[in-house]
Amino acid sequence: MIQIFLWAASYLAIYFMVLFYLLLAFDKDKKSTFIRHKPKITVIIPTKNGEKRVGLVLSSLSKLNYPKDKLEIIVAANGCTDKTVSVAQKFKRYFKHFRVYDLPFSGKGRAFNYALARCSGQYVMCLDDDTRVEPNLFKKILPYFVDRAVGAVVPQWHIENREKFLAAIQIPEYASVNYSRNLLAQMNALYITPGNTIYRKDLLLRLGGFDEYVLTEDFEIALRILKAGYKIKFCLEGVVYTIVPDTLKGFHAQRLRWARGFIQTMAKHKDVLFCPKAGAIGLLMPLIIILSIIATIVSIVIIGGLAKSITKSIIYASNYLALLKSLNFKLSGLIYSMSPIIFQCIILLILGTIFVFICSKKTRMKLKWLYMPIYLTFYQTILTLYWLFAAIAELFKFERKW
Amino acid sequence: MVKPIRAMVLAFVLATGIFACGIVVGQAYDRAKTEHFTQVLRSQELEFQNFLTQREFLEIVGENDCNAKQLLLNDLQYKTRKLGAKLQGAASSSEFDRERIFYIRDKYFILEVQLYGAILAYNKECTPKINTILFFYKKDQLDSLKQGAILDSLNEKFNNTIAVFSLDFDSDLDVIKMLKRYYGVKSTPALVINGKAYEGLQSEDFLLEQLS
Repeated sequence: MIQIFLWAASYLAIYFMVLFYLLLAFDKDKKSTFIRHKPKITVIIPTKNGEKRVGLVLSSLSKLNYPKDKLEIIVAANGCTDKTVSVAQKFKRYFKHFRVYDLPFSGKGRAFNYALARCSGQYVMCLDDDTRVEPNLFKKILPYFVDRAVGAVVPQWHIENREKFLAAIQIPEYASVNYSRNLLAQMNALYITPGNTIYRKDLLLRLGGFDEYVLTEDFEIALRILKAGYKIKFCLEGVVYTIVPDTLKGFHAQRLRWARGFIQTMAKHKDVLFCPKAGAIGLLMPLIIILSIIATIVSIVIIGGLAKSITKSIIYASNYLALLKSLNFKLSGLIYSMSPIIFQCIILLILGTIFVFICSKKTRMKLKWLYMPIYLTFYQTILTLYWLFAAIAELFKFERKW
Repeated sequence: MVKPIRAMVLAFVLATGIFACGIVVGQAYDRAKTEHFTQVLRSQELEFQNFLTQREFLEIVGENDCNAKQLLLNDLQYKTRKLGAKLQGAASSSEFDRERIFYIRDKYFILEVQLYGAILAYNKECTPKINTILFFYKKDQLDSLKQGAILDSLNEKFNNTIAVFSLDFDSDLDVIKMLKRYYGVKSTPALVINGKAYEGLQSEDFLLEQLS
């Protein structure tokens, strides 16, 4: 039975790889066109206990190459028990339109919606408090909105703390995700508007703002934008720098939240599946879900197999000499004990490695090659397990933490 | 903008092609593996036939070269054991040539029993006797795994002169069923040491005691 899952997972993974290569072949490097008109932009920074982070984001905003009178900055401090508000207030002198809301309630979506209802910009950017923006970001992003059908534009995410071990492993992932999003946007199948996206404010208001209850409001709003018939574009030239979790605890919390948020959102928007109105994502999403489920099952089997092998090694290690001998025996016999599915894995590994390399070039994210084997094998396997954790958490209704 | 349906259909066609290539290579690999084991098994069967013929001839002419027999038997049982270890992995990983690889594995079990019989015959007429162990195991059973490791370690201490024959307890082969019945083996792991059966996991010290 598991063999069927393995073959199915390898087929679907090859399918997505090929699809991305095809989109890559069709992709033409676009350069942003210059627009003279400078609309007013509101940047909303929802933050909770972000006294140590908010300075970074506000400092980078103060260096934005954009007219000060066309820029509105709102810090939506929600449920803060630290000095976030006073730290943010210190940056008031750098901006013409600057407000800090000290909100008594918690929740990113709720805080964002509160600020959205009170802001004056034509475009709204939701900016995470652990992020730094590049000075010319708006100049690169705004031309995409010339097309009236574009509802949101997503810039690239680069990793700020790339020197940390866990962050360094995530570099190929962020490079691939960035460029894959760019490719998906080409067929109007970009289905997420992560923190740091710029939206048309009138569209957001018409859609009722962010969903305040799901864990991934950025994914949820993206589906509503697509369902409303708008496009989500990706701006490869525009870059924001974010601090990714570099501790296991932080990483676990983030990935679990993302996976749970995905399940919640898909449960809410099941109608997207096979929905022609949602565009290509209506066809791709079922495949993504099937691949995620199969990959999770395969990962459980792989991890189970690894645990078994480790147990075997421990048993053999009870006699050191026997361990050495058996290893010798096993290595010589390895060539005979491989499953033919290994060839599909080799194909995937080659396609995946080349793709990551291309993505790193296109996104200008410098890879740390030493971490690639960990990323391609161990990291990918662990990631898929989060679907299982999230499914359990949702099934048993564990507390939802942002 | 790229037409989504066109890209997805084209991706389907190309992915199916690439996937099919992987299957073709996988099939060729499985076939090459089976071919390799067929060759090795044939050559071992030939060696065994050679041994039996030599023995028969020496019996007819009234000579009994125990030393030569012992050397040949030791060599044969070592080679057979080595083949078995590889064959076990190949049988569980084969996808496209399962029937043939299972057939080869069954032939290997039969060869093991033939060799075991030849050693028993040798032990009746020659000294020093060759220690024999029949090891009945169950695939993926933790205790069977532990017993296998203990036997490997033990044989190492005896310079690979103990004739260990590993037999799959769940095999449908009549000859294995017959051996189980003959020695009264009902559970795994089970060892038949020089004709005496012991069920359950046995320690290395216990085995050393039985063999000394």
